[in-house]
Amino acid sequence: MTAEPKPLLIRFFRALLALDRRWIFLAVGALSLIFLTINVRLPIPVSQQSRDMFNVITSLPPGARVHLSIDYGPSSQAELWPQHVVILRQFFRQRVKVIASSLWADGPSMIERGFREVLEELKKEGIEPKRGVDFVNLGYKAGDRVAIAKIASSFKETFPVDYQGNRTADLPIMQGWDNYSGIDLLITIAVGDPGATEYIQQAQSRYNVRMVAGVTAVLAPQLYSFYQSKNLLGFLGGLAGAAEYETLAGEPGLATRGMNTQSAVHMLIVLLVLAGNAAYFYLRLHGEKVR
Amino acid sequence: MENLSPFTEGLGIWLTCLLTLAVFSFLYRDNPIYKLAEHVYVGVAAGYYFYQAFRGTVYPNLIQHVADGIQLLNKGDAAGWTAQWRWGALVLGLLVLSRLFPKISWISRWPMALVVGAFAGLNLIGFAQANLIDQINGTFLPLGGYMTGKAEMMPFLPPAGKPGEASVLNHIILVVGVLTVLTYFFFSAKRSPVLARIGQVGIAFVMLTFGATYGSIVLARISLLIGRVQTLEESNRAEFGYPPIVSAVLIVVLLAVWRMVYFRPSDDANIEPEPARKT
Repeated sequence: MTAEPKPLLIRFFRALLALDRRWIFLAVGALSLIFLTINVRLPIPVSQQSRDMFNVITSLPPGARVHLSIDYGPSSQAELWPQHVVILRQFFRQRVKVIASSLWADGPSMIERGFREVLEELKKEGIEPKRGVDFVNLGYKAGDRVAIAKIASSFKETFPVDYQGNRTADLPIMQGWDNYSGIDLLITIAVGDPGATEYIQQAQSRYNVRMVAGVTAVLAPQLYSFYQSKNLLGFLGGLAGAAEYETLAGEPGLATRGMNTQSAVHMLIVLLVLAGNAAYFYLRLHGEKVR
Repeated sequence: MENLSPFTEGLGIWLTCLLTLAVFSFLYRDNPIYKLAEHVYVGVAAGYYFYQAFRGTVYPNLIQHVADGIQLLNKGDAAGWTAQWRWGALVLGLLVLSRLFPKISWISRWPMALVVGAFAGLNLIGFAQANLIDQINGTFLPLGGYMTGKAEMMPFLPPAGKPGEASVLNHIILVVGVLTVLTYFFFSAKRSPVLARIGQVGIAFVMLTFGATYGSIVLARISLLIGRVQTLEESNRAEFGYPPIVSAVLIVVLLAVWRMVYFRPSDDANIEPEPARKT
């Protein structure tokens, strides 16, 4: 026996299903703006993979060499820039030597921006790493997996000059090593292909180099299997991963601020999905044809 | 580190706000302001990618390398010959361009064959190691007993607040998940009722994975929106004349003018309507 249809509810559900999607865009936009301006701090639980990544980076001794591959551009900076900044800051505070490169054409400018902004901040703390001695931007290299395989065999042959045009063979930071046997940690901050999976296939699994990664949320589910098989010692997934890392580092920043909005918009989307399904099933239950 | 001049910074902020809001105007409907932003993006990206490929790869790895080799040869050093084989790379690169001439376009297959072969060879080794061998190793999990390097036995349930920690239940779920999903995709034997049932469990795991991926995609898309809104909020500076607010007003006015004066309903007819779903 079906219940007597309630006209008001039916009218409401019909209106809901006929709602112009532009109202939803407007609601999401307005919610983002509101939650970015109000100062609410929601708790951020830290996942095991983020904690592991933090522990791996924290355990690096001063002078350790890190290959930081920045494999993203401005189009995905919303998710990856907060990860990039918080990790780079930690490297310089720990006096780790950073060898940065990119497999994406728009990566070198992100590397430069990262160095510029983080060094500007750290100057106030009296930390002033030197280009060519403590860090280097090797720039972009075309070739995808082939480029990774070449990097793994020889950094200096793959990058004869750095992004500023200096010969890499002459740089103090490049002395005494030339391949992954001289690298203590490989880290890629990646948006897609080539990125974390390609580095695992061409570098980590072949040369057994310790590796962590920071990726967009879309890529994160693909990395759980590599984390389970210990190819990756830890990873960050999207803005949430960056917020977790900021929590661990005790430096709430861009990502932590963005998570309030993230939570609010997620709640809205969940409510809309539930309301849409309720409307669909309710109207069908009462014999209406629903698209 | 060089800092940007106020003029360059201001110009960058204004362009950022105008182009961001121009792209957002698509949410109203396809319009010339959005089209302009789209074309600017495609043009700038193509030019920028070409420049970066030349600066990062062609110049240092080909031109400079060969030039250094020639310098060595001029000094009488025979080691300079080793750099000259890269002329071969240039020739192969130029052969790709033969596609532009239909009569000799078949020549482009040679360099492409080399690229495909090298790519396949490299991928085969990396894929077999990381996606096959390492994953099989990762699935050989203990379902009980003492934990590695620890004196205590593996707990049945993961510790509170650490759902990803090693535990008997987690390992059982993982092993059952792998085996049932593999069974679902096993097409070399007749689907007996038992295999079909196991496959059904496997498809449930696949669905859970799709659900997690969908959740991650929502997370990523909202993050992109947050990033843009954060940028607009940070750009709202008095010294540059409140670029986001002025840009928003400008775009709304331009959209209104376009809608009232230039818009033809037939423009929308070019967009294919969504096919109606059967109910």
